[in-house]
Amino acid sequence: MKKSELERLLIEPGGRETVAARSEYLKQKYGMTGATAGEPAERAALFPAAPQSRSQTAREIAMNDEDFVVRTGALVDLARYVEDFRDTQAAPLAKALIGKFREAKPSFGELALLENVINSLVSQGELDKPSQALVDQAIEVLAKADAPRSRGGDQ
Amino acid sequence: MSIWTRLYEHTDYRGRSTFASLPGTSPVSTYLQISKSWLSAVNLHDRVSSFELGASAAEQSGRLILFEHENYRGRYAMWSVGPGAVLRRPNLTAQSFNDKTSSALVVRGFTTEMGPIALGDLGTPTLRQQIAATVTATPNLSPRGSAIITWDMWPSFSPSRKYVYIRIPVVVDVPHWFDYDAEIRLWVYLYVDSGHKVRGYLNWYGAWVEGGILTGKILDRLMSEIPAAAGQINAMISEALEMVNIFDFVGLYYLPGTAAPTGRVDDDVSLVLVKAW
Repeated sequence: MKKSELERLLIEPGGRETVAARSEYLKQKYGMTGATAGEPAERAALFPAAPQSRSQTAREIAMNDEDFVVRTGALVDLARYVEDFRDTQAAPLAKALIGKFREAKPSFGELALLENVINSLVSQGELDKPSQALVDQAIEVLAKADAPRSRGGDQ
Repeated sequence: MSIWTRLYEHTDYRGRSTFASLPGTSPVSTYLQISKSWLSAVNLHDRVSSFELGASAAEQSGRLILFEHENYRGRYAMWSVGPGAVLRRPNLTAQSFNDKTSSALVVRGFTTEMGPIALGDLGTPTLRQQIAATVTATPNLSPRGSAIITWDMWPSFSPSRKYVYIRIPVVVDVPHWFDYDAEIRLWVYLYVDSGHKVRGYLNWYGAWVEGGILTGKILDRLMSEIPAAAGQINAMISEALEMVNIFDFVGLYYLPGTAAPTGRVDDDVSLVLVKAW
């Protein structure tokens, strides 16, 4: 019902009675009152017929859906779970990891460990010169840990 | 590490900071998510005022995108860096982004990628025009402004997928009663199949209805009627994708809005297709 129609109903003789009768009808039909109305509502659902989704292979899923890295919450204390480093402070740990990664290519997990150690240093506030130099070295080591691309022909 | 960023609390790279990298180790990922929870954990939510962005020499390019809201929504500002370079921004004043960031993405570029395609204005008639015509032709529905064509990245109901998200504001005509504002929501999933072609289909749907005594009834009705339109919309998607499938692809990803340096996520969504050799 457009605004003009409502205005016409309120102005014309008998119009208000028509609105009241319609209200009563809706109340009876849907069992609703003013007290239960008012809140907007929303819903989402999976399309019942999506045949293409069933035909996706594991390789397609890997190509399309597993293309992101998640870092939710800073895992600055991750190193505490590594036996060798449990009681080590961030700066000595960073030095140890930098030395290790200069000699052997780090794995994805080891890269994440060094990244978290860097975060444990930089998240505390502005760094003094020795700490900043350590962070720069760590970033340099991480930058050299590239592997050949596997998408789009980047080799 | 291949593409990295360091976000600082204050201008001129001062104060606390956080470091994040998108590794170059295989399998290569396109996105690094820097969520609101990450920023909150390091006390940088709504506090980032300068940054560094670097890419190693083996990379084609890297982008940093800052977002006003969590889950990669709201206003955004985007910067890119080339191989072996470091981009430094001592303040975010020009983008009005000092102390505004609630989430961020680091995005990898690929050697064989095509330029971004803004989907809202794709085709003749455009996607927006086709949606408006479809709504107008539906009994008891009329458009309430233009459709919003945007993205929904890794939504909670499907956290491994990124979607083209279409929100269609409508007015539902209720005979002999007040009209209701509503919104029809469609989540379109695009992917590259093992034959290297881009495919897509409607994966999720939904609706929002304003509050009133008929809210539930109208929501039920919309949810029951939207699936009937799936066939038509899927056909429309397939037809649009035929235009690009003259090439072979190995991947796709999205950029926010029209892929302009600044804008709003709701402006549009841009598709980047990565070609095979």
